[in-house]
Amino acid sequence: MLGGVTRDGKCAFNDLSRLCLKACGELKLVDPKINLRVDKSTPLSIFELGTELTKEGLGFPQYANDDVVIPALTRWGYALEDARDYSVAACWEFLIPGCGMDINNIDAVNFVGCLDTALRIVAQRRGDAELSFDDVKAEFFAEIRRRADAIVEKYRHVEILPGPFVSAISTGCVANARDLCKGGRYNNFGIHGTGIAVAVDSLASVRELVFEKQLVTLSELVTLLDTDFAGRPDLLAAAKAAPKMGNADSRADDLAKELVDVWGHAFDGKKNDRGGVFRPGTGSAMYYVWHAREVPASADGRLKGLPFSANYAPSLDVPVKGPVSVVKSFTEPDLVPVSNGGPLTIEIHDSAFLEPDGVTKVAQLVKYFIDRGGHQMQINTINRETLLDAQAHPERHRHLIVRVWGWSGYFIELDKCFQDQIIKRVELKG
Amino acid sequence: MTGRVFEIREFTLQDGPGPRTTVFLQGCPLRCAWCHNPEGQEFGGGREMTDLEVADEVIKTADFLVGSGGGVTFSGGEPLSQAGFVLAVIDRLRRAESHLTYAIETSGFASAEVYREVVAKMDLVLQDVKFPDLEGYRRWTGVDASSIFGNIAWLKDSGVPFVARIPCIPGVNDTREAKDGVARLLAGAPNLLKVELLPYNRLAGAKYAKLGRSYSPGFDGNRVPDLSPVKIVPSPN
Ligand code: SF4
Repeated sequence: MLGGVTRDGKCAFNDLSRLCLKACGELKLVDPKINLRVDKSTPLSIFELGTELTKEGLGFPQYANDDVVIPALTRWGYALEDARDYSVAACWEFLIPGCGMDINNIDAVNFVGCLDTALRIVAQRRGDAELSFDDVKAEFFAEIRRRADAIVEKYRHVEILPGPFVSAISTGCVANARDLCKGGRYNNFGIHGTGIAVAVDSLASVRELVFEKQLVTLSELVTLLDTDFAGRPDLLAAAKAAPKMGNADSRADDLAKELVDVWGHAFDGKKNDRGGVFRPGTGSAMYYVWHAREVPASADGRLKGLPFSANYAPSLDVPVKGPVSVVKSFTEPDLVPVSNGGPLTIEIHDSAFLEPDGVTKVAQLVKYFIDRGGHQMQINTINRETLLDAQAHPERHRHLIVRVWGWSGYFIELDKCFQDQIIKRVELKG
Repeated sequence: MTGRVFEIREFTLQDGPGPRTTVFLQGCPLRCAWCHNPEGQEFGGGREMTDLEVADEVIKTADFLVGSGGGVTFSGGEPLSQAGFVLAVIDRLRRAESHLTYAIETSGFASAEVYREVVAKMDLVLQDVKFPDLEGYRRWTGVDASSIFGNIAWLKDSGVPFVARIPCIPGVNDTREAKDGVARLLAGAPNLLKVELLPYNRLAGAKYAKLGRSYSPGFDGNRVPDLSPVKIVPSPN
């Protein structure tokens, strides 16, 4: 973690930070992965230093925005000085080194699953009265809160194995003669949320297909989800054509704002048995793969078995206009309450760097994200042809590095399902 | 007013200063043997859009364009073939956002009046220069290029900054003779920012079959074009 501020709030980016960035560019190794803390006042030149690494195809730096993350942490009860000291756990969850027993990734809520349940509940209720889109939305948000409550219950009693070594180097453990497993200064639980974009797109599609255009009733739609839109290619096409998150289209982005707001406050007032709070986030870890298997097709036209996008990113099968619209859409919601960690991921085709000023232009895109209140971003340079060639001839691409999600790895060492997911990601944004 | 648009692409990085949004207009009166975008040539194709729709599309991310010193580039096809539409879009954009910059990428094939009216509104012109003479244009692009040469001559004195773009096609215009000719043509323009030599895109033929057209460009597309620099005589002061 480079950059950011000191415990008393002064700019901490110094010559050493600069040298570290330069050295990474020369070494071109997968590790250590660089995280760079920035804020509104960070000059473009620092973003350009970071972008030089992006240009090398290293899959980092990952950027974190102090303007969002520090207020998020203080909102969850972290002391301001500690909050200013934040770093990331292995991938992206924010933590304070040395003084926390936070479990950043204890569980996750499947937003697509929440919507699926909500649609079934509302469709069952049919006949009671005239259904409205607001009924669907209200049930969806209620389901998110129910699942949040279930998580609170599920982790009432968490036992952790003692960790004498970590305890020895963590603040307070020795002085209090208490192992870290019994709690540290901070004992919060981080909760991921998967499939945000798929859920938003599905909600937008339900509004358009069922309520605005009235092409299908809600219960018919539920049946179609169970049968993968069998026999109704017209409705599948209509679902795919409905507004999607990532196109700077308010018809989808307004729903994203509402969803993120509900999620951000789903755990308000809830405490775990160590007195810690629950930190909702936009990360997915491995859950995006598992959760996608738990649900049937979704109303956005995603067929059964197809994956969600990882973390905070447009759905995989959605044609987006380009990275500027993606940044715009994904910074519409207030991200402070959902800053457990989980980046917006953007792929840039390597031709962006053909001209020398490409670095500046890509750096401007990152700065735009930060200036608009984005929380965390990772930006990767990638070339689809290279990836396909690497699948066919791994021996020619031993050094090809890609960002998978929280981590970068050598492409040829990845499991085929991850390779395919990355290629798919690139197809859409290329 | 409506126009035909091939594509609106955002975050284009090689179409002028700063990151830009490029509006590709449908239809081109030329038929360059090496055109890598044949589906953009027909005037009936593309998508019909109003000037308002195009402007709205651009405005959505105009804060980024303005904040980064970028703007809008009109390309094609041949944007000057829909000059009225281009002007209408600019008009709308100007009213909504006064700090965008405008650029146009053009073959220069248009009447003098149209060319001057549009170029006068631009902050930058990306001017294609394919050949130094009428014969090259006639043989390889199928048009009488008198208007192109007239327009380039006017551009050199217009004060509007321009970049000359030369597509280098192997065995067609990558000869020393052709390049010297282009250099002479461009000499003495104080507003010429740079000359870009664009190598022939070897995948150019890929899209023709899909359109039911054959691709027989009449030159050896596999040869690497000579990209050695063009020497421009400095402007006499
Ligand atoms: S001017 Fe451009 S678009 Fe028109 S035919 Fe030539 S290469 Fe194609």
